[in-house]
Amino acid sequence: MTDTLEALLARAKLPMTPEEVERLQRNWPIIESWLADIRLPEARYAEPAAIYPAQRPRAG
Amino acid sequence: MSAELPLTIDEAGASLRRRQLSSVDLTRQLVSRIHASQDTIAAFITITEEGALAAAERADAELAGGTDRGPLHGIPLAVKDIIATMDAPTTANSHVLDPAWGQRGDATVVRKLREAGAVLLGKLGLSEFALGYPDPDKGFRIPKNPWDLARSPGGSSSGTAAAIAGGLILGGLGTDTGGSIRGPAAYCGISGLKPTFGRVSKEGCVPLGYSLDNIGPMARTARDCALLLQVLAGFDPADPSSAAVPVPDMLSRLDGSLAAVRIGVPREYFFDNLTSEIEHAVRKAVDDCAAAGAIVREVSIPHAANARAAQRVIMFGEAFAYHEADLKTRPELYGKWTRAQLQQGALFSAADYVQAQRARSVIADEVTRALQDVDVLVTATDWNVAPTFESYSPEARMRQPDFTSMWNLTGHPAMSVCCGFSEAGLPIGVQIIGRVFDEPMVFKAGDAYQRLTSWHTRTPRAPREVQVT
Repeated sequence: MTDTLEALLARAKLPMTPEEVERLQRNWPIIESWLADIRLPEARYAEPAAIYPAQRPRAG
Repeated sequence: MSAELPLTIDEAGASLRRRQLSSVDLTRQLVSRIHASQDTIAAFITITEEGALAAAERADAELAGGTDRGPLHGIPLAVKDIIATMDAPTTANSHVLDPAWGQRGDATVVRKLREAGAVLLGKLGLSEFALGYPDPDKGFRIPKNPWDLARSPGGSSSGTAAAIAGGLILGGLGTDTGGSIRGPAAYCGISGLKPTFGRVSKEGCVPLGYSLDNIGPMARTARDCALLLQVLAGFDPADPSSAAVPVPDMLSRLDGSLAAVRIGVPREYFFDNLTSEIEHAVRKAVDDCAAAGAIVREVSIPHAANARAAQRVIMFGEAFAYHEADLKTRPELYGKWTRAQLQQGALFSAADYVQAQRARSVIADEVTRALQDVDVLVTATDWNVAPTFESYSPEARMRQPDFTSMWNLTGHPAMSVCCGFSEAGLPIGVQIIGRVFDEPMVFKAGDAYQRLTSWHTRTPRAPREVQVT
């Protein structure tokens, strides 16, 4: 297991079976590729998309 | 499937108004089909027969007395079992959800359907919490694809798609966080729309990814989806992400014409990794539209290939936040695939989530620019036809292309309609994407295409029983 994945799982404190840990290890390279894919140079100065209004409209 | 009952909401409505059929007769026959198919198609978790017949009687009496609530009056529909209804528990196909959750009353969308005179036949099967994969160990029925019972109807709105394709209901509700309406629609040969984010209230729906979730219509035709969305759409102060925008006439552009409709075909990503059968069917659909007068051009979405990563980080992060306490205290109650999916959400940091939301801004802008000079975009809905249950797993899915989740990320409306069949006789879906809050144009393109073709009129043969292991 990579140090990063081990640290993340330790922090999460999830009860997991050995099969589940093994599955995450197997898929970790794909998840790492996602984390690379979301770091777009074009997003360097972009605002995040999830901006909610300070005051929600109310009924009536 | 038996051919004597109407296949569409539109046809059924006309028969009801001509008194050729009563809502009670239609409801009785469909309930009978549902019971008979529970060991084969297995689309329903709960059948609300008594309430449905009472609603059908009311609908008939009202029509006889001159009260007509509109196109859904007396029409049998059903709801994915992740949406609250007052007459049945809501399970989310899980032993984790508190049974009391579903007893609190109708979700906003369900209330709207009832007010429009619809007859609700029950709660439809789904992937656990709209995320898991079939798990026979958990005791819920597993919906099967009426075109081939050894194959999945897709997920997560599996029951809704299977029930419509199997002739058990005329339409229904699905939910869609990454393709859960459009994927099953494609695999089952029906139509299904993910509306613009905020168009339809999510109040009363168990969340998966708060900023990606949508409730939307599924039916045999684009026109029926438009009839349903007309009723479902509208601002709801009970849903924090509901949009306070006017609801247009969803049928206003259904003129059957593709003349001068501008279709954009993305240059990047969407045609790179799909089977030759799917590519051929989708390109043929585009050619058919062009022959009918549509103007086709290539468009660019430079970061299309990055969209899936951003959607996954956001979806798993939001889902993990919702499920974290239960994953720690009673993980054994989840299906094994649901647990495996949700565990991925523990691997992302707060900074990862924000980076994904910043990538989301960039990609949404690219899509808006791509749609500046065209009316709709067209892609395949899925890279392949419905998989067998044996080959259907989240791990396989992680390694396959994904053409639907991008539009959850950007919020644009997207609909799948049937555009052909594989050599093995399995449906193929084409996806039509529109500008934000321009569902009428998406319906126009889908409806006009369906008037040109007959793929959507095909029905599967009566199914044989199979066992999913």
